[in-house]
Amino acid sequence: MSFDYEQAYQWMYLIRHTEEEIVDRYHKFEQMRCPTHLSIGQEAAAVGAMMALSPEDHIYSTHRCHAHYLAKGGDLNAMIAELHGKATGCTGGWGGSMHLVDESAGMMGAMPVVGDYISLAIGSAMAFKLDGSGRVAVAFFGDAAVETGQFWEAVNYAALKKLPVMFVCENNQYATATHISERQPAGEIYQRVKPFMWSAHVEDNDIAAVFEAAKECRSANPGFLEIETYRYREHVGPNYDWDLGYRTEAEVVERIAQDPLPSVREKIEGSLATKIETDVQRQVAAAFDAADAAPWPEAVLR
Amino acid sequence: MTYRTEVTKALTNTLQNDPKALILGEGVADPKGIFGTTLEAATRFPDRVMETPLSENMLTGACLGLALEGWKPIYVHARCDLLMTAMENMVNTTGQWRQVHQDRPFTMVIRALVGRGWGQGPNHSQAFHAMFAHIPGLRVLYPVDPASVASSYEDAMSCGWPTLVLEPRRLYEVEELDYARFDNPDVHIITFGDVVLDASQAAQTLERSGIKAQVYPIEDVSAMNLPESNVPALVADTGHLFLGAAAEVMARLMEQGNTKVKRIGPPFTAMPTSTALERDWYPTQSNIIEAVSGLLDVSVRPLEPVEAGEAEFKGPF
Repeated sequence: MSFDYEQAYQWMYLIRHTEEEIVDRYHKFEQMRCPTHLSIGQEAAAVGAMMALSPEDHIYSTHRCHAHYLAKGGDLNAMIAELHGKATGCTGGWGGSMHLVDESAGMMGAMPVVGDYISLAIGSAMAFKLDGSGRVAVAFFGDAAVETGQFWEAVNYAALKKLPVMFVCENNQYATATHISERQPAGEIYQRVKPFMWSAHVEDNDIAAVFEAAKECRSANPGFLEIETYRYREHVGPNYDWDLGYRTEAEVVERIAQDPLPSVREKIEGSLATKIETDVQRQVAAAFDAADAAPWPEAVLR
Repeated sequence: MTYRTEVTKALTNTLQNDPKALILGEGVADPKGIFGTTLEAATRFPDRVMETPLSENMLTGACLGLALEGWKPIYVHARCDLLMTAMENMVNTTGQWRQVHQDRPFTMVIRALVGRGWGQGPNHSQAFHAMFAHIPGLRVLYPVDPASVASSYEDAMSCGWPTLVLEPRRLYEVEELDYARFDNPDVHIITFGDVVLDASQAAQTLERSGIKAQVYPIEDVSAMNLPESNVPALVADTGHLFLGAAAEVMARLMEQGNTKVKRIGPPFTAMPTSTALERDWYPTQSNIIEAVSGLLDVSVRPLEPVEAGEAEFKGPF
């Protein structure tokens, strides 16, 4: 079966364009008043993995959850309203960018304390094993989550109980501004997990490879997939951050030159790509307009 | 029936009445079954009583995941102290989930025993009801009357909020609480946890001196329903006084105009193991009588100090 580049581009462009609009508006209008962690550069990991899932599967995500939320089919209007702190947001203004949720789409929740989402996904996997529904629970997380106790507690338990859970580790090399070499011993993460379960690794500049690996991972019960990816912007906020000195401008520019979006776009017909882009731009503009016009949430009673 | 039997019955009934109810924990399906309380459920519903690895933090998060999928987990810990390993998922995810997610209800119970006696020591004795009740969205129940155990579990399993149920180990062999109910008491002795036993003994001694002391255990720490009458009140706790549950009781009583209030509890230290040190660490009957006498400005001589419950509990755990 050939890979559906059209669908991939649809999701990737939706995520990229939504976040580029957040970049443009974040400081200009000062209306999105919450810590916002952008996925720009990491779209192929989220989209490639998500395309291997069934719509009935349930996912959990991190502080950097925009890509997962949108790729799982989370409501765009509710997300943009949430970033604006409006009543129509997906948590009515209580959670903000780091707590996106859309249960109707199978996006069960996101949370910023590293490791928690892995534990919650284990619970969903236990439920799916109990109800025999064949669904799979997926935890998306970054390379730093591998440093938490919850990750290893989950790996141990998932392997012991043969749970229908996918661990998807998006390795972007940095925890905030600390390189992985300062946090973990040498060697690849997926190799450390191999004694417990099916475990593989793939690079996200080949989204078809991400998809194929994720399909295998989904049927592994449990499986671990490490996806090499890269975040272009600062850890939190809309800017580039090479001025901090923890990585060079050359490193970032080199990775942007390998951006997976243009190569996916090339695989589909130009007029189709343009139509996808025009439709997405219209949807995103409408979402920002709706968020602007939406009411504030009611005050919390003392 | 003893407190222990009431717990056993409540857990078994919960699984029998609700096919979505689960019991998980380290020791729930082992030969001793958490002081025998989970053995019947484990025998009758082996698929829904799950032995677990330690991994307390991960499994607390997993219980939230189960709950979001419609299951109703009861996660069991043999000691309250062990909950410190699960703090992250008790507070940042489970505790806040319903409020942050548009009032989304779910059923999740964490059950833990508060140890006391036979030298349980610094890490097997701590009563953390105040610390957990400080988290908005996390309910804390602390049943002390055997007759309250069943309703506490029914409440926890049906309220739609994550609920911590604390059980005082020292009360496990108690069949009923022995204190009188007065229409017009002279003083309230408001208690948390097993100090209700010492308060009950103190009340009997006080009554012989003509003082009607109403023992008033608080079993729903989060609701914290207090007596409406403003007779003098003593608050006795086995948890620490500093920033504790007793301080909250006193603040509320003072806000309703009651200025004759006092509290007693353990010293602000870790709980020592040695019998000699442990005996004096918890508030005793004598301490309570002395404090009440001070509040009412009377003199009552305590009877021989008896450590309630100690005679029955020979350890080891």
